[in-house]
Amino acid sequence: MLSDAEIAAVRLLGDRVAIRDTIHRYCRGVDRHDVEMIDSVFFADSVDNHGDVLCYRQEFAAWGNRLHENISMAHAHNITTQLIEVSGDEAAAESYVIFVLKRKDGSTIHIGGARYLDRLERRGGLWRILLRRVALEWRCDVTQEQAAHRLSTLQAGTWDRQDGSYALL
Amino acid sequence: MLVRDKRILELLDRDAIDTALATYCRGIDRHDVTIINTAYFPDAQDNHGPYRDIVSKGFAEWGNALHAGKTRAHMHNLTTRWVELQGDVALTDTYVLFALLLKDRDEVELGSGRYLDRLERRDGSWRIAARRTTIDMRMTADARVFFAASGGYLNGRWDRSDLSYQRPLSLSPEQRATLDKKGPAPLRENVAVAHAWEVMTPDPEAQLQWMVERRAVAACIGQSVRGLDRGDAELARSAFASNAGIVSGQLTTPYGDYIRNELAMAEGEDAGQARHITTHNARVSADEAVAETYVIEMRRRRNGLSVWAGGTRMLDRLSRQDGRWKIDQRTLVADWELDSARVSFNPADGYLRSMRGTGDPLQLDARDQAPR
Repeated sequence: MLSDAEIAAVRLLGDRVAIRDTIHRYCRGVDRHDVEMIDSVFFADSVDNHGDVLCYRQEFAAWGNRLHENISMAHAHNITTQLIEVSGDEAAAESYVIFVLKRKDGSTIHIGGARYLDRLERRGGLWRILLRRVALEWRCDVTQEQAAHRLSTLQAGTWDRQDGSYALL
Repeated sequence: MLVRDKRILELLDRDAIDTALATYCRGIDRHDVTIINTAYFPDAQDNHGPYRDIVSKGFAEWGNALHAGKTRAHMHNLTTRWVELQGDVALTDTYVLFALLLKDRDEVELGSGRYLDRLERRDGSWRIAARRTTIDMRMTADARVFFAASGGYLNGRWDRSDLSYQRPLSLSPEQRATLDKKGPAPLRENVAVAHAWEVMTPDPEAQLQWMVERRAVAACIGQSVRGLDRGDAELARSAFASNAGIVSGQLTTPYGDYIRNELAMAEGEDAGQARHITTHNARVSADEAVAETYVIEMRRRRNGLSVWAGGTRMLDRLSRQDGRWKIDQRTLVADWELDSARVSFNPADGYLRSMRGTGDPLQLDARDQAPR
């Protein structure tokens, strides 16, 4: 049997895992243009602030998907350095992200770095982002005369349930 | 000690080590001397290119001056991790993808390196006791796009006015007013609907065991990647089940052939390979697991003329056999790739280099002999 102190430690570790998972699931949702999955990291009354964009959940996923469709043919949001502070039912998280977009010309690769600054809350046992603000740090374009082709024999990602990842999870 | 369960103690140790490593990045990227120094013990030593000395003799100030002199912004992204716990000591290998927005021209420099650390627990607190830093590749790219359109984004700052210090994180009064003008706020969602991947475990024992397995699954995937980068075929092989296959496009390759091919590339065309693990989602039950893991692969060509980078996802099916997690099948998906001739790697910059096998700085004993 776990002692009270041990149970408290398990709960705290569990909170930290759940918060990490929420932020990573966001990336999966965005990269697959999966509105339902994107929505699953926010509450209905959560607010997202990406630059000039300031909106509640109901508008956010559509805005993000449209933005990515307009400027790219594929993209990946890579979470790297993460710091999480939990205090009861509230948490603060800073997550670094490297976003990479394949531009519509098929050869230019756009890479940028930002920080997701999140205020999270636990309601009914589930952690969700209550407020997200984004600090953009750098962006660049790698132009190539020809697209690189080491990976051309691999399956390419898609923006629907045809993507290989849905066969797994 | 009220917590005696070994599984909990190990998870707590790993979490604290992870936090210490991330704290370093946060401190450096915010130019916050106090935070940088929190990541180390005062007598820690850092072998960091030109800086090879005790950290408390001015490492933080040196690092901040270096970054302020060369850049307008920077991020130190921690990716692939390897942690060996040995009681109150931990040996870690953490990959870093660093990005510098240069000051003297509109370019970003991207680099790949590793932090090879010995952390210790002293008085219950984990910090870095000795560090060796490698830089293994660097390239530059055109950053004019950053200055062309701001999109109204906040940028980071090098002082406590950076938004990351704000508690609780909030909107400005002007933003709040803008939001209110758009219409009434949606009703407060008191009870969210669980996502299919979310595990609700009222039983703490079950939650603990689930976390132990989650970590083991991530470690198995990490092992498969680390074995390839370090030229350790045995380590890479040990992550796979005996009949495991690698699906790349139309082709399914036995995992042994796949490992051999990747290692052959490293002996041939590539002078260095670094597979940076980033976004990771997984579902784990008692004996079966599935995971999607993003990788940013970087390879420096042996001729020194170009750097190749690619974004892939590893879609893994795993199972637990005799208590050990193994990958049964890996499907590789490609999202992007690039080849760049704008290499800015300077072989004489004074930094240590990653090597394959026993020459790797990880193997050198000095890491284990920090001054006390």
